[in-house]
Amino acid sequence: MQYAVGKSPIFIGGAPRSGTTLLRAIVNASRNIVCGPEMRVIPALCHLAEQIETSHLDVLSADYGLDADALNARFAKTIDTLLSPLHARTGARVAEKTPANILHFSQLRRLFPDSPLIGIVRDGRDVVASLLSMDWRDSKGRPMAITQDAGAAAELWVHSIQAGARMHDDPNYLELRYEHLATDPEREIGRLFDKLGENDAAKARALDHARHFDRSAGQSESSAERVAQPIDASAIGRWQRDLDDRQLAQIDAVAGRVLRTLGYA
Amino acid sequence: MPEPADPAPGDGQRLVFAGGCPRSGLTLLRRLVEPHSRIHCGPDTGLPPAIAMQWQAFASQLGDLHARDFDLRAEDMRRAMAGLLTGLFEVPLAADPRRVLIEKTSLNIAAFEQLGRLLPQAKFIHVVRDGRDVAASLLDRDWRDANGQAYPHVSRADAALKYWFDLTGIGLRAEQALAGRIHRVRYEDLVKRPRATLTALTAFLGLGYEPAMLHFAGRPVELKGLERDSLPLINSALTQRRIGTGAALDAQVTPEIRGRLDALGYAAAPAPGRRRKVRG
Repeated sequence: MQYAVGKSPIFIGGAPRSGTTLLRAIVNASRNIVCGPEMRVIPALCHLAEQIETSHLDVLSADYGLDADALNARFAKTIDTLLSPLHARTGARVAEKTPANILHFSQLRRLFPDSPLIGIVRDGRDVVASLLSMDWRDSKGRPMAITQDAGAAAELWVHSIQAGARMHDDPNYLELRYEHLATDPEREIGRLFDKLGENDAAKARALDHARHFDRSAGQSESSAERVAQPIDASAIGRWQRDLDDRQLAQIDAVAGRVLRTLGYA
Repeated sequence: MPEPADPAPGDGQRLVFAGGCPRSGLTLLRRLVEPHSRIHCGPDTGLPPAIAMQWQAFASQLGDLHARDFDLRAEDMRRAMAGLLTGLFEVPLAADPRRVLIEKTSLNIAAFEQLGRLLPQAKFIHVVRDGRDVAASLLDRDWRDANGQAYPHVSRADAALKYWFDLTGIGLRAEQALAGRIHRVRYEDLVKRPRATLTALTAFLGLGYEPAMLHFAGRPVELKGLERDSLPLINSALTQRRIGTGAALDAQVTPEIRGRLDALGYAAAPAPGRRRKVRG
């Protein structure tokens, strides 16, 4: 497929509060990649594509001449069109970092066979602790369950981890750890930029991402202020001071097995 | 030599969305228009309302963010989502540049106004039927939600009538908002005066009436999804027997619903039909 955005776009995802904004700052520092804040349309479009493929493809195929490949091409073209103004302004390769992208990486792979898919994983307990400190509301102004209930937040984390795990055999999928980015950024950024085809100069700029980060973009991003600072490890293990025993028990009930599998507990 | 038609009409040229309360006659409409040489009318896809509502959500909730951070204007988003929807119907439209495609998902009606803004050249057909007959037909359905629970509007007469009232209300508002682009078809007129009704409909679509439209019985058709609910009548002649099936529900009509029935010309409870075959 010929993309309006030039080279195949990059998709970044992970459980919310796992470090996708930090990844945005890092890839933007490369100068060859432009990553806006969360666009928030790709998960919805992927969900729609999945629903159509599951429930309507027989009718579309038999009566409207549209098979699965053509359907996917339509959705890919739509996403490409939505990302193209950013490419047109900057000339750079486009990356998109809505966290929920990860829940649809399998679908995104069908839409964009050549795209790098980047997942980021963080200790689920820190993710939950961070989510519970957010004031996020739904379209009707009600607090979102994942900011109120440790169990709901842990469930979303588990779903995100499982979605990433389904991509482990994909050669163009890369999974990063937030903790590695914080404690050994040179190595983790090297892995990322090798996957994206970026050179050593870009890696060096990424290590100094705070100097390049435009905090005025993405006014709705909760992490913009923090990401504007140099990487440090101070947010690792915040759950130990932020969560009580009841919340930890809720997390363990939902996510204990996955936390242990990933070596977090 | 005529100009080649746009194979992917991005603003909805040659696209027509038919909708109405379920069990109002959308499948009968398909049966009647599909034989027309310049109309493609397949089974429901369910897609137009889903895509229109998604576009509306993007525009209303994320428009400012997209303009500020992605240089994505409201018109860019509209064009992208319009292209997605029209692209799904590209193949049958491209096969004949003179062809009109009618998409007849009944719940298109819930998104008529959004579809009208998304596709400024699209046209609409609002199918209405006596709410008592619709309710009676709904109550014969076994439609259940994902948890296996029967929907209220197929379980209780008051909920079925209210469902009809709500959807016809949306349709009437769309008639105001889309004046000139929307045509109302009464099920009863299709049954009693099919030729005149189809002549008016095809004129609205910029086409001529074709006699083949009335010779649908026996013509092969594969019904899909909820269309299969219409199988018992699919090859039946157009007789008045189809009208007045919900007369027994008249006693449960509330004043509010009575007003809507009056507004749509269903003032009197239909008398039992004389069971004669109706001529085109």
